[in-house]
Amino acid sequence: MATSDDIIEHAADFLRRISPEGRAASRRRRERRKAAFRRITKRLVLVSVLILAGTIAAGIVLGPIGINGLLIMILAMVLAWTAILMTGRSPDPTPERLATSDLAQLPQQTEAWLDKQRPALPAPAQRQIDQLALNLEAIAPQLAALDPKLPEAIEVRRLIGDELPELVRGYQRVPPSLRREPLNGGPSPDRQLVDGLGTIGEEIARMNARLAAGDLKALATQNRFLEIKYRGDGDIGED
Amino acid sequence: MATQTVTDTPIELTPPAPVTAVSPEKAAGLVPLDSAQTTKLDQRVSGFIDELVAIDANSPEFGKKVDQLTNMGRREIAEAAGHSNRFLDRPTKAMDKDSSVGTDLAELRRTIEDLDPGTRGNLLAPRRLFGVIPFGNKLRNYFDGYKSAQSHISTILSRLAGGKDELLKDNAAIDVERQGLWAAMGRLEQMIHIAKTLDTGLEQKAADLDATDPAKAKAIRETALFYIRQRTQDLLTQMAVTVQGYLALDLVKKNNVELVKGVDRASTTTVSALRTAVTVAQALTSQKLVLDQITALNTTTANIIDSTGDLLRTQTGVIHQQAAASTIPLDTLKRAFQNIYRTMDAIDTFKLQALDSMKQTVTVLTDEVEKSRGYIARAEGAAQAQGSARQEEPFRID
Repeated sequence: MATSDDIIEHAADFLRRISPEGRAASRRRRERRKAAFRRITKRLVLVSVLILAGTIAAGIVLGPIGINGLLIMILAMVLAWTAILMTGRSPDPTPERLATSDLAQLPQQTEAWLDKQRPALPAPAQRQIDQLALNLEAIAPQLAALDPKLPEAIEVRRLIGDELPELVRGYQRVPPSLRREPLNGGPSPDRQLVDGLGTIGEEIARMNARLAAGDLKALATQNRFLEIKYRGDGDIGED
Repeated sequence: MATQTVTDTPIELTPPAPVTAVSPEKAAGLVPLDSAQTTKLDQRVSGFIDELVAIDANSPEFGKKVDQLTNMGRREIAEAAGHSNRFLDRPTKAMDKDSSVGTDLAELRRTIEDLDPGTRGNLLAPRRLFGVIPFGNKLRNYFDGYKSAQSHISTILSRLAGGKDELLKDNAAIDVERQGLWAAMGRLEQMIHIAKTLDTGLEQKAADLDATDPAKAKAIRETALFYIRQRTQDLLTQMAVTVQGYLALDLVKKNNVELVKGVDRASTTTVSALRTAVTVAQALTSQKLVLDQITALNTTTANIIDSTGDLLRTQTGVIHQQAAASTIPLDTLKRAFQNIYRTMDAIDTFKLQALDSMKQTVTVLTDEVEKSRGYIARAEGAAQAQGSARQEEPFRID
């Protein structure tokens, strides 16, 4: 029999999935799968064409290749396909891989990793993860253009490549039976996880704003310059 | 002379006065807060005080609440401090930029001096070989000099227009920076308001508690009130520095505006002198002096520099009249050159004075920023000592 807790949890899960964040998350999951599929298909086609072309070239240069040649070609094709299918799937991101991955890839990989952790996390954290995924998606284009040696880049990497996985893994290490118990009268581990994820989400949004500050300012300056030059010097924002 | 041209009035470039130190006591209240804001802040403050008084003075929750006070306004201070650090390199940058304008002006002056009719002796005297045999025409030779100089002058003038654009761009950046600074000052002001309201509110509560719960009154006075006063001081110091930086940026902007005026006037007087020369040449030697490049420049500058364009348009007729009608056209030309010199001298004096007031401002500002840095370091240290930089903030300004 379903307890009221279960019912509430199911309802919350359902609400989350139909929320805009939840829908955006599933859209991104679909896109990731599609992108991986496209990548692998492209490689398979490329390799097949190459092997066929090689066979034809061998046929022209060396004369008829006979049944053995055909067999060798088929064998090569099978081997190549297997190799591509074996290696083509991108390895599952782990916190260790996140720490060393490319800055431009980091948000996407962290998002994929977080998605994998979903089943192990409590219902209230799901919404936070959706929100976090949105924040990660928003900051991704900026990170792609950022010099990884800058202090800001190091800060972002620490936040989403190190501190975030550490929080989630720390929660996962707590035995499930203790996760709902408040600690010394303070918040329960469940609550702490949700709060922590919220803080990280806010911080990513703030970093996003800070990274964009320079570009925003440059645009505002150019606009103001045009105003001063061609419309005369009024106060800013004045017409 | 009956008619005076616009360029005849000497240009006045006034360097803005240096920015002096703003004392922390005077810094608060410069940015107005509207009453809706203050009411909201007051509500939050009284809520905080009620919560604090309701907690047992020995419990960890009480300590936690007090810790929140030590953390108050940390982000606002850090943000405003970031602004102050950025604008300190601005005056020097502005001075660098104007140095390119400066070299262009100096070059223009050298070229103009070569053409000055005042340095050529009596141009109307007939030219004689060995002082005896009449040979050629001095005046004709003199006007030929314009033809060779014109391309050089037009290059310098278009470089000056580019330099002027740089100055305008600098002013645009300053406007944007000041807008951000104003917003930062608004947030600091709100924090100062909170801190001051907390101060009076807690003082009042402590006095009320003296009779009923002296232990709690003591705890409030020794921890919460102590921290809040320290914080108020930090906020006021940062506010003073920020206000000063705000004013300093205005100084840089005004300098740029004056310099732009100077550059405009120098270009105008130069072009107008060359046009006078064309007319005078026509009148005296009935030689048609063709300065194509200057004419072309004229049209473009008229489009780019509005004021110059206006000046030139209104003047053209006047100069023509003067030069043609004047009994001594060469004097008109000499006066046109005097105008250029006067403008350039005005710019030189202005730059000297402006540099001086800029230097004073930078010195005062650097001192104050150094002072405020001590406070910020202390605040940062306090935040780190509490183990986490991301503390709960009771008073957050969005």
